[in-house]
Order: sequence, then C-alpha cells, then structure tokens
Amino acid sequence: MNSLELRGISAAYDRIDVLFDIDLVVPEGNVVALLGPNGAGKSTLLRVAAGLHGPASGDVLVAGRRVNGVPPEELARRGMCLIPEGRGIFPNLTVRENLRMMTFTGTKLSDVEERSFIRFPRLKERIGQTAGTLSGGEQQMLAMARGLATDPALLLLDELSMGLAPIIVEELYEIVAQVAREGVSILVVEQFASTVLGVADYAAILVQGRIVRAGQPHELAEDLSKAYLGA
Amino acid sequence: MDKFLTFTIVGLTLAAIYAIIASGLVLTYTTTGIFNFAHGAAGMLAAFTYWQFRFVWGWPTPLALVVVLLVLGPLFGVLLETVIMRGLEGTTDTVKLVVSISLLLFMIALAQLIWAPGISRPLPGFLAGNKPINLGATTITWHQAITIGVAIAVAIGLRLVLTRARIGIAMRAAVDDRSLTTLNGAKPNLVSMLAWAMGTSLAALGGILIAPGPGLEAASLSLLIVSAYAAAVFGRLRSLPLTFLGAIVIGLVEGYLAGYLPQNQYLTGMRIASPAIILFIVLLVLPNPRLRGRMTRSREYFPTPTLAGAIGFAITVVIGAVMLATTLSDPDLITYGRVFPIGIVALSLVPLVGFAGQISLCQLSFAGIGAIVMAHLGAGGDPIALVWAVLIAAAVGAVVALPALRLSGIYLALGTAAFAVILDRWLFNLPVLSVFGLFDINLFANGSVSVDAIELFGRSFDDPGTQMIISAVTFALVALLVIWIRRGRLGRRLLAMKDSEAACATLGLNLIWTKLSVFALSAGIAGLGGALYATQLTSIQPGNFELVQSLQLFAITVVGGIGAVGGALFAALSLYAFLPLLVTLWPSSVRWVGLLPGGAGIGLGRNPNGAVHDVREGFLPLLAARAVLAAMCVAVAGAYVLRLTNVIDNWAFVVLLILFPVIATIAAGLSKPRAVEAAAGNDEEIRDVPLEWRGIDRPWTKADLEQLDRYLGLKEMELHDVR
Ligand SMILES: Nc1ncnc2c1ncn2[C@@H]1O[C@H](COP(=O)(O)OP(=O)(O)OP(=O)(O)O)[C@@H](O)[C@H]1O
Ligand SMILES: [Mg+2]
Repeated sequence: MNSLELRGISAAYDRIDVLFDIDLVVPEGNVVALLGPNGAGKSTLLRVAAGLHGPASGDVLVAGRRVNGVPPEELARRGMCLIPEGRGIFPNLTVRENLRMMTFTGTKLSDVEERSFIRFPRLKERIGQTAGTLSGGEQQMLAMARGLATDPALLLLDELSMGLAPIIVEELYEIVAQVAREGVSILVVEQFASTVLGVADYAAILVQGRIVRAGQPHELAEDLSKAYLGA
Repeated sequence: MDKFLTFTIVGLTLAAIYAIIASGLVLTYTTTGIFNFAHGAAGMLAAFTYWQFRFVWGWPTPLALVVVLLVLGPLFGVLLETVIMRGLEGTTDTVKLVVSISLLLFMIALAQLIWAPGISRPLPGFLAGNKPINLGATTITWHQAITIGVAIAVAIGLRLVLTRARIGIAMRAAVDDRSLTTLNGAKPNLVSMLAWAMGTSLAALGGILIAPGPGLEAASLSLLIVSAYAAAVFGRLRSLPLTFLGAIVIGLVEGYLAGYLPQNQYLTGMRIASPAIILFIVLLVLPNPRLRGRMTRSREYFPTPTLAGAIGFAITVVIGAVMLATTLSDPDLITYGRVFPIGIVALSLVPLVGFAGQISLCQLSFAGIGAIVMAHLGAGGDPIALVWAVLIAAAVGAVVALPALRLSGIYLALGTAAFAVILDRWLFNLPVLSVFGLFDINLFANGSVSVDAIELFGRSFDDPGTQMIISAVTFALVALLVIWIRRGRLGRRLLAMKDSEAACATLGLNLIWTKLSVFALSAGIAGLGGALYATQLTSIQPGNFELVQSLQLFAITVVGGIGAVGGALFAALSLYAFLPLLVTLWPSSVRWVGLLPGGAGIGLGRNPNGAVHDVREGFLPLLAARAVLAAMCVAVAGAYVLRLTNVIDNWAFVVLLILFPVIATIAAGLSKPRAVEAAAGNDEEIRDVPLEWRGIDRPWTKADLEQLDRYLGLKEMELHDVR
C-alpha cells in the first residue's frame, strides 16, 4: 500500500506552468527525499499533495483513495501533515496557543503537549511566549512539533533546514529518523542533499518541474551535482 | 465639577458604544481582510428591527433583544459572509470597497423601504422610566450605566473567546496565516462565518444602544458610526485593546465637545461633524500603515483605448446629446440633463481610481466646491468662473491630497469619506463668515444659492437644451483628455504606481508629485462637473453634494468599469437617466428603485472589469463591420429626421434607437468571420496580451522590448548594449 501516490500531476500558477506530468509514490513506512534546485517546484508539489493547490491535471491518491478536490483541513483530519516552508507557526499566538491549534485534527491537548515536550523540552520553558519572538530554531521545533504530536500517517516536510545552524538541522533530522522508525511515511523536501539522504529510503530529483532521476540514495549521489549545477 | 463629571459620563457612554461596534469591525476585518463599510448599517437595521419588535409588536424587551442579537444578527452575518464576502477573495481593494459600500447603500434603501422615512419613531433608552442613579456629584441614567456595563462585558467576553476558546484562537491564527490554519485541520469557512456572526451581532448591539440618542433615521444612523471606525483605525484595524483605548479617547473628546464647545452658529455643525474630524486626525497622526508593497494580482484588466475609439466615443456622446436636446420637453431636459455634468464628476474618478488606484469618496464634495465658485464668481453669467471652479477645486484637491499621500487603500477611502462628511455636515452649512471684516466667505449662505446661466457674447445659455449640449460637449472633451492621459507618460506612471508603489519608488518615480497631480487633476475635473451641474440646477444646496451621493457615483462607476471613460458615462446614465426613466414608466417602482444601485454594486464581485467591458466586447463585431455600422448610422439619422418632423413620437423614436444597434450587432455577427479577422489585423495593440505576459504567452519581439523600455522610462539608458 502506498501512503501517497501522485499520478501524472501537472500544476500551474495563473498561467505559469510549474509541474509537468509528475509520478511519485511514497510507500507506507518509507522516507522519500525530494531534491532539486531553487524554483524547481518542490514546494508546489507538496502543496498539491496537501490539497492547498489544485493540480491542473493528474490524480492525488492518499492510502489508495483519490483525494483530488478534498480540502486541506479534511486531508489533515485524515492523517496528512504538511510542515510548510518557512516557519510553519502562528507568530502572534503564544506557544501554548500554537499547540492548541494542533488539536483540530482530534488529538487531545494533553497528548499534544506531552509528545511535543518529550522531543522539545525547550518549548515547555517557553510556553507563554509569543511564538514570533522565539529563535529560528525554536520556531522550527514548534512547527515540527505538529508532525510529532498529531500522530500523522503521512508527514510532508518542506525544507526544515532553512536558515538554521547545522547542529540544529542535524538534531531535527535525527528526530525525523526516529519518527520514520515508528512507521510514519515521510516525504521530505530538502535543498541540501547530504543531510537528508542519510535518512531516506528513496530519493527523486526534481528539475524545472520534471522528475529527472529517481532511485535509492546511493544511486543518485553523482546525478545530484549535475542537477544542481544545471549540467 | 458636576458638569465635568456629567460630560465624562456622556463621553464614556459614547466610548462604550464605539468600542462595541469597532471591535466587531476589527473582528471581521482581521479574519477575512474585508473592511465592512456597511458595518454601521447593520447596526442601523438592527435598531429598526428591535424597535419594530419591541414597540410596534409589543414583544417583551428580553425576547426582542435575544431575537435581534442572538438570532437575526448572527444569521445576517453568516449570510453576508457566505453569499457576498467569500467571493471577494483575490479581488482588488477597490472592488472589495465597492461591494461593502454598495451593501451600505442597499441597507439604507432597504430600511427606507420598510420604515418610510420622515415619521417619528421614538426609541427610549433602557429603563428610561426609572430614576437616574445618584452618584453624589452627578447622576447616571440607567441606559448609560447599562451601556458602559455591556461594553465591559463585551471586552471581557471577547478576550475570553479569543484566548480561551479553540475556535477563537483559530480566528486569531487565521489573521497570521490562513492556509496554515487549514493545514492544522481547522475549517477556514467556519472561522470566517463565526467572525462575521460575532461581528454583526456586535454591530447590532451597538446600533440598539446608540439609536435612542440620535433617533431612528437610516442614513445618518449608518454614517454616525464613523466614530466607531475612527476607534478601529486607532487600533490599526487589528488590535482590540488599542481599539478600546481609541474608543475611550474619541468618546471622551466628543463628550467634552458637547459640553464645552461654545454655543455659536459656526460651531454647531462642527459638533455634528466631530466624529469625521476625529477620524481624519487619527488617520493623519497614526504612524504610517506601511507602504503597500504586497502585490495583489487582480482579476481586472483594462485595455488601452484606441484613438479612433476615443474620437468615436466623443462624437457619439455629442450627437446623442443633440438628439435629446432637440426632442425632449423642458422638464425632461432638466431631469435628464444632469447626466452629463454628473458624468464629468464620474470621469474625475477614472484617472484617480482607475489608473492610479487611489480611492476617493469625496468627488461630489469637490463638485460642490466647483458649484459654489460658479454661484459666486459666475454671477451674471461670467464664463471665466468655470476656469476658477476648476482651479479652486483642484487646489482644494491638492490640499486634501497632501495629508492623504501617506495613506493608501482602505485608509485613504476612510480619510476622503471623513473629508466629505466634514464638508457636508459642517463647512457647507456655515453661515456667512467674515474674515477680519476684510471680505466675506459665503458658501451656501446657510441654505441655498442661485446660479446664473453662462453668458457668452451677450447670449445667455439659459435654456435646458443648450445647457445639456454644453455639458455634453464638455463631457466629451474631458473624456478625450482622460484618454490622452491614459495613453501618455502620466498615464503609464499612474498605472505603474497602482501596480506597486514600492517598485515605482525604487525606479525613481516621484510618488508625491504623481499623487498630488492626479488628485488635483481629478478634483479639478470634478469641480468643472459641479460648476456645470450648478448652472443646470439654477439653485444649489449642500444636499446636492453629500457623501452618500459620492458613494453611489463611486460604486456605479466601478460597476461600469472605472478604468475607462465608458464606465463614467455608464454611471451617470444609470443613476440619472435610467432610474428616473424607470420611475416615469412604472411609478410604483419609486418605492424600491433605491435598492438598485446598491444591488448592482454588490453584484460587482462577479465581474471586476465592469459592465462596459462586456458591452464593448458585445459590440466589437459591429465596430469591425464598417458597412453595417454605416447602415446603422443612416438608419438612426433617418429616425431622428422622422422625429423632428413629428412623424413619430418620442416613444417610437426611443424604441428605434434601441432596436437599430441590436439589429446591427446581430447583422454584424452574421458576417463575423471576415470582419473579426480584419479587426485582429488592425488593432494589434489592444488585442495583444498584456505586457507582463509577453514572453510567456508568446515569444518576445524587438518591438516588445522597445515598448518595455518606454514603459520603464529607460530610453536613455544603455540597456540594449548590456543585452
Ligand atoms: N503563488 C505563486 N504565484 C506564482 N508563481 C509561483 C507561486 N509560488 C511559486 N511560484 C513559482 O513556481 C515555481 C516553483 O516554485 P516552488 O516554490 O514550488 O519552488 P521550490 O522548488 O520549492 O523552490 P525553493 O527551493 O526555492 O523553495 C517558481 O518559479 C516560483 O516562482
Ligand atoms: Mg520551496
């Protein structure tokens, strides 16, 4: 069974085509890394999968069921969790209120807090603070907490590393690896390949809206440099 | 001391009401990004409804309150959100504004339809029969005490809902990042609906509390709530605590003005206008609500007018006016003659709003200034007064623009609306003002002033037919001026400024001068329209130039298509020809005809390009089929001759006038394939893709590059060498 399957997906903003006939699967319990240069369409692909952006053509299947047109909040309630690019938090809400927002998918607040604080004890210390005033790393922890606390079946991660110190990135990906071992299917987008290939079961390279190469991480290593250098 | 306390209580009571209303406004604005101009009108409707239940049908007070505040109010809010506001996502500020302004007009018309104006409807405050509570130094009425108590309860209640209830937290979360709330699994539509339900309920509560003071009168009650808007602006339309603080400041100022402003014929009007004055000042002193750098990709798109089209438009207008002037009776001419001067005022909106994206809700105030100048300097029919009308209105426009320069979008709309209220509630009603005994400033002479017809070469143009033709010719000339501006350098600058002020500033465009000049230009045009309007009315009064009329004209011009001169003609024709005609043909429609302008504006959300755009598209085949066009002109001319020789009457003439273009369009449609191909070859420029899509929809050409350089003013730079 595939947790996520994209079949022939094309997508566009207004009249700018961004994705062309994408096929991609995330088998249950696997980690798939999606790599590619800036502007390749990685974030768009995740937005399509999460229901935030309607595809121009093609089908999105979640756990084998076609979900085109299902609104994002419904997908979230069915166990899909996208941690978007940038800081996926509400900056004017406190940390506690941000955690409260995570209960819409049906998890109890006490569970959300418990699961978040085990992984990120720092959040507990900052519970009353306005989220926008947290450090970049803390903000990303808070965003990531939703992926841990709401017990999703499918986790979509968009550039966790953005703007963070390498040591924090490493910490975050260690947690991703732990989550993966618990059996959660993960599709992770990352610009910096080395960090993510260690965790991934499969990887695909997206260049200018097309998947140019897919396979096991070790098979892709040399293609990667080509993709980034645009050769 | 007693007096001070008494008016402190008066001020705090006002503050309480403003706080309640403003918090509702902030709630809806922050969660859905739509500033609801009709918020006050919702409160007005609620007050009327409550009065109906409580005093006409005799329901017990608690029942009437529960039904209005907890059932009808929230339902109405949900209705507004789902039916009207939800469709506005992704439209420009202007369209959003027009829809909510139209809603305001519609609700006022609705209230006047249900509760005929002019009848006294006393609405006593709560527990009005009980003795006031004695506070020692002063007393407080039960209504005042209840009002203040309710406001405190609302403040506490809102705080609890927004910080404790999960759905309340989701409302605040939606302000931060709407799509992220959906990723969290919150239902965004539910959040918006709740915000509108709560917001409308708060408006209703405020309306019921405030109405016993000024009394139940639809228009003034809807606009009186301007003070509440000032409080919301104080909180930058976001912060509820600041909004409450703003309400207290504004309420107290109003209270003390009522208590301590000397009784004086010049200042009575100021008291009435004080909310608007406060709003104006608040807009000016608040830190700049940041430059609008965010690109809102809008659905509207206005093509560049062609020269031939412009001249054709002008000639058609003049010929139409000549036909009307020679066939209509004098009373009809007086009724329908208003189309062209008002059309000129509507034209003044095209460069300002359509090209530059600066919203102004006070164009009829500028027209009023032009009218006053015409009345005083044009005494005896001096045509030079027209020039003065333009210059003085333009100067006032520039003065208004100066403080408005730092405002944009909704803040600019509020500022200009406040200016209009200051004029029509206060300054226009001033008695003769003697400046140090040197000269008198006499606006409407405390009532109405008469206006002399223009006299030229010893001939007085005082018959309505000639006046109509003069106005129509002026309208045509101003339309050509506007089109010339659109096609020239200034027009490109204005459009660029509309797209992105920040980008223009970085390109070195002087925003201040550009804005000032377009404001002055627009006010000057409006002043010219007002001056001609005045000569046609022969006697003018402040009521001819009120905010509500500016709102109507603004809304309907946008409905017609504010980016083109056709939109202005559309607005003037619909408001000052179609509506009176409808009432003539169908007298009983007079009761509900007032609903139409608002209704049309509310429908705008569906078609941001305006109606004229569609009409033009419909007629395109006709314009291309030259032979059919010529035949139609001959047929119209023939009908006109028949009418002049009294072979046919006016009605038959009108029917033919409508019939011929329809037949011609159909005929042209039949011969379409050839005709349209020819048109495509000819008007490459208007049918081409917009500049920003070239290179995407079709490959770049050298001509495009040159055009881009011209747009950006890069002519002198060595761009080509770099390439
Ligand atoms: N809202 C939007 N409107 C128009 N174009 C957009 C929008 N969002 C993205 N694009 C365009 O779509 C293309 C793909 O963007 P996307 O964000 O998916 O790329 P990405 O691979 O995530 O890049 P990055 O690594 O920089 O995050 C880009 O060319 C971008 O300019
Ligand atoms: Mg991205």
